[in-house]
Amino acid sequence: MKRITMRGQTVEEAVEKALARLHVSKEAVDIVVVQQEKKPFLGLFGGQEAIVEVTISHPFHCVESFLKHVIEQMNVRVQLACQVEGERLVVFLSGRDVARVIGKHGQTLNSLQLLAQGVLNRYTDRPLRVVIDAEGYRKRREETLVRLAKNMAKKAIQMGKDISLEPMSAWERKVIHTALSDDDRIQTFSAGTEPHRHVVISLKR
Amino acid sequence: MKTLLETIVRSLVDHPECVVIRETEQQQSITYAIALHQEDVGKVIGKNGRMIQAIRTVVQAANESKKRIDVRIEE
Repeated sequence: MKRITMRGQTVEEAVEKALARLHVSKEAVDIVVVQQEKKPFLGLFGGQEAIVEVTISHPFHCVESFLKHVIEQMNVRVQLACQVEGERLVVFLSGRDVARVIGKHGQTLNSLQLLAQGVLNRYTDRPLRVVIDAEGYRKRREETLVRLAKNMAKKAIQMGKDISLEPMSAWERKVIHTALSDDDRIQTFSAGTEPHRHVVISLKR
Repeated sequence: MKTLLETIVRSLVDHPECVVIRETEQQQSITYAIALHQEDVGKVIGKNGRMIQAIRTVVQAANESKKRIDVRIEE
């Protein structure tokens, strides 16, 4: 849903109806007045409804206000800073309760990201992405995963056996594949179906 | 908690006015049953239940009571 046309007694009324229908604030949209309302002549003839065309021009804005509301209602003390990088909206969370929005293995953070992506998809047809980070969590997680990957690769070579890792998200698996891609003694692939999809480190023979 | 659920679910669906959440409290848990417009059910559940699972995780993280929280979708 990106653009809708709405009629009303007045332009303001039509715009308000459109915003309510799209569930967004005025800052997130562009408004084009297709037809101004006209009072009927002598209160009888030639009256005209107002018609407006409302387009969501700032889908990231919708995501930002969605996340603000969610965080406020989760009753956590967390600040939110947004940054647009091309096709991506990167959201940085920080503050006292940041651990609560990260959760175990970033579970809550990933869930928030998925919900935000769901909201974003509703407001745009373009392939836009939203990434949520908290106090550098993504970076730290990446370092942990790279370390894990190297250790497990070493273990696989020593034992001469394939090693299956824990189930991980697509992004986390990619980090592992990338970390081990230049080691020519082993190869990596993913096996299983979501949500149990995991990386397997196997020896090249 | 109910407000949080409403905010999340209403932002995901095409018919936010049809979202109704019923709260029932048991001894050990609180159940939230979400009623939706038929067209929106799939959106809220998501592929392999990913969306509803994410909703549960976020609600669980916001949970400050001792009780467990169940989130269901009414048919």
